[in-house]
Amino acid sequence: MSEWWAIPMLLSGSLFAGGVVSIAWERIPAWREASLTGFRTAFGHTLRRVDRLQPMLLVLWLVSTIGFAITAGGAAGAAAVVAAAGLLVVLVGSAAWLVPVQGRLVSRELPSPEAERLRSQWLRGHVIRTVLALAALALIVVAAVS
Amino acid sequence: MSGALRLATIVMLAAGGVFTGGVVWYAWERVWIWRRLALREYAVDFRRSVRKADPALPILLVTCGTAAGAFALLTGGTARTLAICGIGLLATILVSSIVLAEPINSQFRRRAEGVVPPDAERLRRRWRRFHLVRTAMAAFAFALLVTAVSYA
Repeated sequence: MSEWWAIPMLLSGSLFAGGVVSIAWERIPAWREASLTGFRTAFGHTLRRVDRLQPMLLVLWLVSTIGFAITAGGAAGAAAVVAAAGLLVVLVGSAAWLVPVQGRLVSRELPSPEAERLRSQWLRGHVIRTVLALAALALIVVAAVS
Repeated sequence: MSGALRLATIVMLAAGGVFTGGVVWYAWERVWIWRRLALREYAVDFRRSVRKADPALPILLVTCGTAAGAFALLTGGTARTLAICGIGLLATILVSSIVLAEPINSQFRRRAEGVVPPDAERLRRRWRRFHLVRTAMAAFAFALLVTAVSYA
């Protein structure tokens, strides 16, 4: 029964984690070097695309991981529970912290020091989210082969 | 599941997962944005992006393919068949990337930043089409490998 949860868990988890890793690896260095105006324009473009897909993948990943944890039991179930807790932190942290920062960065005329502070905050938050997503991916992979 | 098979499976799924997520992200986000940029902006962004992605994605692809080879050797039946099909797709992605995408990448990489290669619009269109096909193959290959694990 747990295999039915393992397949969507691994697929959605990989797509989500690969997406946030790509942003951290490819976009963040470019955004750090960009001027504030250039950053806010490019950031807005990325948000328009990523916000349509990543939250859906994260929710799918979380639900399938919970389903896997319930049906697997034992060490595999325990690893999945820890992964699900990490994903919940990513979900709540993104909604409560990063989404409001994104909204302010793209929708308002901000004074430069404030925009600079928000850029640093978002980039830091995204790196934390990436580390958590990678740890959760490692845990679900281990859980799936246990 | 033996220790060696477990290790091969973990490496295959972890490397393959991040690789697949990465190419899907390019197809979903970068390709969509690049299509809308002026050629000079595109040349700058594409060149920078390729410099970041080039060492990482091929390493993940080869790591996944090698681990999938070990997985196929250590299993049998349906799991092995599915893994071999996945490896075939990964090999096709690797070879076609070297033969088709790399010459386009180098057209941008070998020039100074902001210099637009001749026929850049055609190169952009060709790279985009190639990447969308590569993404579909990567997603299918990873789905095959994940399904193979459920049979192991």
